[in-house]
Amino acid sequence: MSDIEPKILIIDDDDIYAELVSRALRKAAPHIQVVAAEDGQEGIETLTGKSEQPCERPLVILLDLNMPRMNGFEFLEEIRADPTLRKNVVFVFTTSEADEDRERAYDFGVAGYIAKSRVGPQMGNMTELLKSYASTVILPS
Amino acid sequence: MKQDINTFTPDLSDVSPEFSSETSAFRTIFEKSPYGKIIINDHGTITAVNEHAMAMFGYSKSELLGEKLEVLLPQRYRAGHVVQRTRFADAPDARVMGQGRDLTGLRKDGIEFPLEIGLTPFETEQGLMVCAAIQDVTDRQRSERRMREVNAQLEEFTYVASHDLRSPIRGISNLIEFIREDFEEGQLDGVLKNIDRMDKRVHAVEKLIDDLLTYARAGRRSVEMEPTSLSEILSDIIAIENIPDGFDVKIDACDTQFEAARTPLTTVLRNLIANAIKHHDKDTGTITVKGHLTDSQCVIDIADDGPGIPENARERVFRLFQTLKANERGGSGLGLAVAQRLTTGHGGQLALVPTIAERGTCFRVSWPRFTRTDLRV
Repeated sequence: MSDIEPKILIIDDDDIYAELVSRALRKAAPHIQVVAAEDGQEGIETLTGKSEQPCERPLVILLDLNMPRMNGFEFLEEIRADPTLRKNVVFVFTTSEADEDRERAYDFGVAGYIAKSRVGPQMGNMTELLKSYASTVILPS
Repeated sequence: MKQDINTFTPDLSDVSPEFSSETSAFRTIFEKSPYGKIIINDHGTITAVNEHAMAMFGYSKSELLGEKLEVLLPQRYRAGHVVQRTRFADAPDARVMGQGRDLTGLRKDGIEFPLEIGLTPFETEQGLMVCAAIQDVTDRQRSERRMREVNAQLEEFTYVASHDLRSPIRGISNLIEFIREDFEEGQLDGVLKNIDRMDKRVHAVEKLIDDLLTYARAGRRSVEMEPTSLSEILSDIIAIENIPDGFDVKIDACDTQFEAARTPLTTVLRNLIANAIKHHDKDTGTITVKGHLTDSQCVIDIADDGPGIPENARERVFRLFQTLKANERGGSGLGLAVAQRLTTGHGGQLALVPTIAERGTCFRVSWPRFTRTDLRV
């Protein structure tokens, strides 16, 4: 794990969030790279090396729920059904604070549900979380 | 008891001097009941009818006595009803009729209305008789429908407020943060770009609110009924709609006249045809529209040879603000939601026809040919 640069795959149809995460990490954890996909479909292409900017072994996936073409739940359904993709660690990262969305996400075994409104000033809490995650968690091989 | 009931049949108006007070009491209970009451014999012929039933169906007593009960049913249910009536006669029991089903009556003026019926069979010297107690449930059905609509609307608005209105605002808040950060660091290159991005999101919220209002208005039914035909409606749409070069809209529809709320039906079909063209991924394409009438509905299929809708997205295409392409944020994502709302508001259905083909989408509109009283405002 430590021999390769950790990457975070962010799947969100609004490109602001990839920038938000990059900006926050640039200061706090510049060794973590950010790869962006604009919806679930592109997310899968990125994970399977079929996109311009592949990211086959991300440290974590940050997943938005409400997206066109393939939304967050459809993405989870797809990767959990695929033996080569199912071990990916997914954090939901969404504006939705609806109970039913949260419950449904945990039914898919996500590692955490993060509301975009609660990431702290300059994404402080979120950056801390990602940083310590990268340095402490041992991921599947 | 048997004796008393017998005096109700076959001619209730026969006032004979030997009437016992009990018979007269039963007669009043029948005549003045706040429910419609009709007695039929084992041939399905009406032998007695009370005041309330006459008022409900708009007939006089002499028009109904001796007629088959089926005159009070819409044409399309008559044959089926004869079968059910015969089956009931084989094993008669007192019960509520057609529980869980929508029962429909036909007034003399041709208007249909929802009703509830309780059946009481009784044996007489003339054979098996059945007394039907009938209640017009127009008001109840109308308020139930209204309540369901309002509830669904409220749920949708809550959902939209929590997702679709919030996300551009969240985005603006992040962009403000970016700009502040860049200012602090003296990095002014990106500031203008970020202000543009804020601007886009402000417009997006405005458009969203406009679209939401359009959608809410689509829930209010217009009630003007006029005679029309599918071929007439469709040729009007082709005339108005801007069909781009390379696209062919093939129409195969019957020109049988029927009564319909023409404007909303036209809007629905127009939305679906325009959608099929707008979401087509090629420069040329064919949209095939086929319409026919069944006993109770017009069924219109709108099929295209476009990219099709991925299986996992089929369930959500009718929901608010669902778009299928990431680059189409400009499209409101409301077309199908509006079409579906108009259709169900008028008692119809809009559904995707399941297909196993790789490409192409087919929507089916089922629009009622007869408007029931509870759908009229």
